Amino acid sequence: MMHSTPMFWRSNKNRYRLIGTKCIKCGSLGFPPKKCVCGGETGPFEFSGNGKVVSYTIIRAAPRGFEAPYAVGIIQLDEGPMVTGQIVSEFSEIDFDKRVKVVFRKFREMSDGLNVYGFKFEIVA
Amino acid sequence: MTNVAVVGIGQTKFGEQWRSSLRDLAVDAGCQAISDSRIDPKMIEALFVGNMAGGGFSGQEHVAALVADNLGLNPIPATRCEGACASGALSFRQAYMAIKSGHHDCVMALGVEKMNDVKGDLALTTLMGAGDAEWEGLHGLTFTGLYALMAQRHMKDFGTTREQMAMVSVNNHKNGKNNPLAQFRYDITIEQVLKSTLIADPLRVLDCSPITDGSAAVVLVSDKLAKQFELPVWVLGSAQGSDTLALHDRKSLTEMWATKEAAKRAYEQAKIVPEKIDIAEVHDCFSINEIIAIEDLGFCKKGDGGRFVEQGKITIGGERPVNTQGGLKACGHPVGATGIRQICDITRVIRGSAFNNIKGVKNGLALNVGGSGATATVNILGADI
Repeated sequence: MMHSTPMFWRSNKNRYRLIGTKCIKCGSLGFPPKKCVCGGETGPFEFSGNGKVVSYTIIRAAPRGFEAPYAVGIIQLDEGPMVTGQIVSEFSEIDFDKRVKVVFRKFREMSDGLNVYGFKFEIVA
Repeated sequence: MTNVAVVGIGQTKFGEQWRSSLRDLAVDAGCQAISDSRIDPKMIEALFVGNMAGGGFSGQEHVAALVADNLGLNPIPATRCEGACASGALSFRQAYMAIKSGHHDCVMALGVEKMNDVKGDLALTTLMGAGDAEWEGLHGLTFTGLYALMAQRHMKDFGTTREQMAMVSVNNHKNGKNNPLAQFRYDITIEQVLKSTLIADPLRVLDCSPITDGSAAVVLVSDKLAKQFELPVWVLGSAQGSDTLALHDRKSLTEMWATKEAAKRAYEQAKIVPEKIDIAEVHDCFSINEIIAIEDLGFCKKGDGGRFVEQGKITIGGERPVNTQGGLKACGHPVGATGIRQICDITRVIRGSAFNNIKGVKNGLALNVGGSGATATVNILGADI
């Protein structure tokens, strides 16, 4: 899996501002952005970035471009959709159903030397 | 429609095969399958090759052409099937359908993966391509991490314990001990699993199937040709399901819809119920997935998989023996080859020539899963049609 900088930049608005999709016909929300299964047109929708931890793990063997250990979770956004993201809080603070908010952080340095940034999550007390 | 039978099997030793290349492994397994079936190779009308990442692991795409060429099978059609770790079963199912449809009478399905030619972190990175590269992989979510997220939720929702997951690995190592083709041929204890290095909490290294080089192949024939073989093993059912690529898009993190759908249809085709399955080869890429598989295949209720394992029901001699020749954990997991290896193992048991022989086995089920469950294939084999 060779992530390129253009691949990242194409989704900047999604990664910087958590913009997903809303179906004009049935109203269902999508994040990451997706076509609606009902067949209706979709428009942009900005998520609040608030949600809760559905599941989490600490990655201790990292792939290329990452430095272990770090926490990754599946977050259910308050608006409904679930999303994968790193959780930047102390590991001991992370638990099921804990409330999180979105934060803006460096993701990684790409193989071409450019740094890329986007959303991660932080536990809120 | 014609019935389809497995009449030849071949498999290389699974493990770190430093002296063998991608092509060497495939040729070895393919030739073994041909000689096991005793057919004239000229009878083979088509080839399907399961391979997940020849490019990522060996810089080699166009793998089906490579295999056909080196097996001397040109100019028959050779097609690569890719469904991550389910690539092997996908190639088997395509071969089955090519005969079932009446298009061919004799087809080879071959799975191969050469994973040790790259360093460990690059192998990990390549395997991450089985998930959603943009929305999981880019966040650093590894393959083990995906299954760790499922394990965490399974433990929370159903009270599945760390020990129960360890018992899966212990059972698979016990079964793999007698298998000369297995990567790991020794017993491990629950304590060893629980003390092994953490990879992604709560999964430890002894919960994980290893990085493996290997290949396996089968020869399939139609009714018309099957009569001339002594011990044909029949394909009673073959089905496949799909689900969202990303784990976060699923309705449940603790069950696999693709598995459940594939199982439902395979049971219908085979006219069999889960209670009548004699043995099962399931996809224990991580210990938690054997528990999830046991539930999704209907061997026990949702959430009871851990207890099913703890009660010894998956052992040889138990109610529903699972991974009787070592599974992915002990045999090793050359991703594209695993689905075919499962078919080889079930065929050996039904023929009565398995490494761990089990008397009276008339049928067997193989579950091969791709990614975190986006692809699943269930094949049911039997001694009688």
